Amino acid sequence: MRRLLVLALLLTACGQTTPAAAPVEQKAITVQNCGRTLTFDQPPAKVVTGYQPSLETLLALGLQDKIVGRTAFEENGPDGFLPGQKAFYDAIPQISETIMLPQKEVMLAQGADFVIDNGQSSFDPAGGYATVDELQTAGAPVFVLGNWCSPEETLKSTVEQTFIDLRNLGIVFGVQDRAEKLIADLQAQLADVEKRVAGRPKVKVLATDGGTGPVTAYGGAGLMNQMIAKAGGENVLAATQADYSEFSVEQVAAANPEALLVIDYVVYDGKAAPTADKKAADVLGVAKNSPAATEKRVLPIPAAAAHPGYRNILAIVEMAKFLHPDAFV
Amino acid sequence: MTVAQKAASQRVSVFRRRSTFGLVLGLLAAAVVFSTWLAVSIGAVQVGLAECWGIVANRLFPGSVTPFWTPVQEQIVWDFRLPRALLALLVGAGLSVVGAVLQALVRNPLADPFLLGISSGASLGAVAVFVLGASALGGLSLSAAAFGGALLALVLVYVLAQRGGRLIPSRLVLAGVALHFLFQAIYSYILQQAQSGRAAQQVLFWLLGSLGGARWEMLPIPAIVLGAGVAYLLVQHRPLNALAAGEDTATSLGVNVGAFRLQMFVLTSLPVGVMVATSGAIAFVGLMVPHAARLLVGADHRRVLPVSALLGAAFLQLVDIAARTVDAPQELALTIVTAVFGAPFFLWLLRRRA
Amino acid sequence: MRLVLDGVAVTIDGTPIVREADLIVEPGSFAALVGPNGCGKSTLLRTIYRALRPAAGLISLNDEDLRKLKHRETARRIAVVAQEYPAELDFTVEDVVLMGRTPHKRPLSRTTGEDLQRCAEALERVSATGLARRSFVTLSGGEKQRVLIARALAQESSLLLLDEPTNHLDIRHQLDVLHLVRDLGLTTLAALHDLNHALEFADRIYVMDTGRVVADELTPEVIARVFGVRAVSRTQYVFERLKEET
Repeated sequence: MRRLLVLALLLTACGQTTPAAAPVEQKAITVQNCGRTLTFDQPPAKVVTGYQPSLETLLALGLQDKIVGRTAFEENGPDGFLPGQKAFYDAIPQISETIMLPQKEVMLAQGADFVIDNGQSSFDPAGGYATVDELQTAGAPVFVLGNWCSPEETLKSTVEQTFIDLRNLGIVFGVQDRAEKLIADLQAQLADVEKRVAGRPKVKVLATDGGTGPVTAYGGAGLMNQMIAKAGGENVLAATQADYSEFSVEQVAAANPEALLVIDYVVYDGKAAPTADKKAADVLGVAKNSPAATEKRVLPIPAAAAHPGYRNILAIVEMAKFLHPDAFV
Repeated sequence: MTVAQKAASQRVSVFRRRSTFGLVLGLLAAAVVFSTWLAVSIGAVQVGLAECWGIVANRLFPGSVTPFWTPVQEQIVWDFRLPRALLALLVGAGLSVVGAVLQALVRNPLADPFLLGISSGASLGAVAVFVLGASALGGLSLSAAAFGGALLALVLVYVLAQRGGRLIPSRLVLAGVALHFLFQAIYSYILQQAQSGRAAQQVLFWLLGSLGGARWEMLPIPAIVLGAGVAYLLVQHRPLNALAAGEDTATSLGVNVGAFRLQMFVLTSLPVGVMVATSGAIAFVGLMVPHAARLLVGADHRRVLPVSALLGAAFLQLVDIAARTVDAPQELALTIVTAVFGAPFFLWLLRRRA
Repeated sequence: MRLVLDGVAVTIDGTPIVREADLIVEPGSFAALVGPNGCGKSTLLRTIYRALRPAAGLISLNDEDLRKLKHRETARRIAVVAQEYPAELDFTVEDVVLMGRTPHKRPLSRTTGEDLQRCAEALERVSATGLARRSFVTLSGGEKQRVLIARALAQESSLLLLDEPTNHLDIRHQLDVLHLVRDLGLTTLAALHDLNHALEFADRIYVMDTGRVVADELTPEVIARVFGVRAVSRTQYVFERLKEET
């Protein structure tokens, strides 16, 4: 008898998840993301965030109280956080030991009502993760930054997508005014950079993640290529339609860059990764005849700034200062 | 016909066979030279033929050609293409000769460094350094860790496959296959722990074989180890023939089977460790090339070993050219190309023979 | 070449297979080793050609202790036709016969015209010259045995060991192979399972039973004791049948 009772309780407990598939038209809040319609009765209050830019974006909108769980990314140590954000990072419960969202069951057990990340790898069933559909069914719609919805769309992502994302997040959380203020600020910074680098000769730039052969670098499609252009540079590997990819040493040597951008993550998934210095030395060894090598002209770019988020724009400012120091005196 | 006359005609027939062997060797040597010439001449970046060979000539005989090329062109041809082409020859020859030796040693035509777990042992060592960092393994270099892994695999296979001091070939293959999957599981686990993206992707690419890292400064070790190793294995054709005919036969022909097997295992693991460390685990070459060599010149290792060495060198050179150019400027992993080009060629040879 | 075994014992995985074997093969003679299956014939032969190590006893060739010789030196004195064929790899008959030259060669020495001559002569002596270019695996059982004997001849050893050389052959080829071996005139020790063959071809017959050499001739008493059958000569058989009928 007692066992029956427990069973009945379990059944009702399971049954409670079904109302999530309620009729759409009653919902007050609606935004589009990755070709899906996300709807909410009220602003989410139990948010789980993925890789660094997704947490940064919500913190920039002042939503720290709504976040109930985050992943781990101390890849660049205490300096890897934007000013003032480390305290919030420390206060939010950590639900994963890596930059990825936790495995499916742990993820679903969070009882989140909103999940935000960039890219699709944390939703890949092959990796043991909860899919976007499964989370949606569990009442946790997924918001993906930068329109990184598929490999093809990743190649087409734009810096301007950040403004669309911020606007949509403003709607979802009912903080449109904060979103508009942030957008205006970022747009002003972009406009300032554009004005300063206008008319100056483009600096030939190689953006790399290291390697002695093949060399991992950024091609002529995707975010990094646009960031280089906006900062007054010219991607030497622009001819190849690729974002993050591998290139032959011959092409890297022939590319003859004037400046090097190195993706920087000192710690990767809790393990020591090659430092930016090491990666720069390797790649400049390959392009040893280039001006970048003779002048040792290298700027580390935090890995987080190479992924969709408003940090892209902050990085563009840094890159412009590095490529055109005269324009900022 | 007298006995002496018959014997004389017999000798003639044997000599005729040797001249076909000479012809095959000559053609393969030409193929090695041609493929290497091709490898230096073409690449992701176009460098004119005159520039290419001017650069090589001027480096070999300084001052012989007045430079009419850019420093970048010189770097591409001399620093990237030439060491890479030479490494391709070394590794191609090494994998093929090791494969042929292992097949005779365990009397199993399916034997190669993969099947006996040696490659995956070397891969495990290399992945551990790659992902966990050299400090986690007491500062071991990649090559040393790969060699250590190969040797560990070898010792385990050897211990598991012997009974009362005798090596049992069928047990050897079974133990090798089991260890192969065990090692694969361990390094896959390490890779999976490394999570998504960069590190894992780089290691995976490298695990499937790549000569992209070839530079002059990393050539000496493979050149010495593979050069000496292949040379030593080449002169072992008689005991290998005897062993291929059977363990007791080999003993009765004066081969100390236990000692010879042990010696061959150590001497094949050394090149395998070095090869995995420099170029990743390139599959299919060690399995296929010795069989192709046998189809060309028969089973006698006196002919199989040198033919395997040349055939493997030319084959891997062509494979690497394809890997560099098919999807330029991005490169394909070598194992993809060895299988795509090698399998149909092998099947064609097999059918032609039938 | 005179082969002497004195108190030889062999143990495999802790099990004694040969307990005590004493025998002598005189130079130029054909000795046969007979005994029921599992009596230790093959093990004893394998011990003589050093595939196994004796646990006790002494094996000597012309008063030379075998253990003091290198494997190569042993192989120049003893040639073997074992029950083992090169099956996995496609060797030609030539390749197989040339293997016989192995103990005469150093790693760096070339195969000379003299080596080829020896092999050609060996093939000629077993009347298999026509098979030279054939693939070994395609040969019939009788042809294979001839080729393996040719390999043993190419080895130029004065002691020949054969382990059941007539196995799997039809009766004509059995006799063929045994005639061939006897006519070679080498010092020969052959394990045989057919007692009639042993009686017909061997100069001396050693009988083994459960790991021991129990007799050096094949008498009806020995046959009854070792093989558990009654051996009778043809005349005796006919005589006894007639007696029963009358």
